[in-house]
Amino acid sequence: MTREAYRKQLSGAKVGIAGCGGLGSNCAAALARAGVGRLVFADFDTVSEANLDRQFFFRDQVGRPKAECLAENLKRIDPSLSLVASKARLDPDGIVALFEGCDVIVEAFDGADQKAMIIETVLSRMRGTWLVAASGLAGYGRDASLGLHVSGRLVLCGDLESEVSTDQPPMAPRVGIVANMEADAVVSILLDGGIGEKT
Amino acid sequence: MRITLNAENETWTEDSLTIRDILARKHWSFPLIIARLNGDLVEREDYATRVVRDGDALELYHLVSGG
Repeated sequence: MTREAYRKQLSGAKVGIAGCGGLGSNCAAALARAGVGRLVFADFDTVSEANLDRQFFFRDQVGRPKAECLAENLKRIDPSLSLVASKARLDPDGIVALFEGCDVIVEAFDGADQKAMIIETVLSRMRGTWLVAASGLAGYGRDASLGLHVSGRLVLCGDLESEVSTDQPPMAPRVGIVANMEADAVVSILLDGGIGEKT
Repeated sequence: MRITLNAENETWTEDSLTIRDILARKHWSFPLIIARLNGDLVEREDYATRVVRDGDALELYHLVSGG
């Protein structure tokens, strides 16, 4: 397929992103650049100076809502994007309501409990929807351990073990790799109709 | 029984084991796990009672913080 054919197919897609931190903001930027036409995202938080070490925000956005700032930054890449930016803390009902009609949902939360919550919600209440999630991205190096685990319509990106801690903070390169793995999984699902044999 | 655990073959002498039994035998004490048995999500409160039998496909994924 040509670049134009890929972009035409992606332009009609709608992708939800839960969280606009290191995973969500960078994944959204990759999807916007790839040509995904409609993005719906939510984050309750505001941009802090510490976020600038890995998240797709800028110094003059510190203190402002992440969802609103991400929408601004994505529009600078492509003004024709259709965006829904929500400053909200998502719960199961909020996930179902906000992401209804999305072709794929990206899990981009920080906390493991929140990751479990959205996976359980989508697997039980949005069975037809693909969910691309991430687990295990802290620190640096060991990139060969980063993989894609496909289970039905659930895709897990990461090494499934590197937890963020004081000794092992999230760092831009490895967070970026996993955010882009998530974006690549989304593009694969949108262009090929799925990943893996079990769909 | 023979099952697949995360797509790898596993053989146990017992005819059946609960998900909690299997987690204990693998020494997996992770606080947050997503479990799917033959593709169906298994709720955490059912790990002690949900039985895995010969031929089943069990998937257990460890969720850690970071994003």
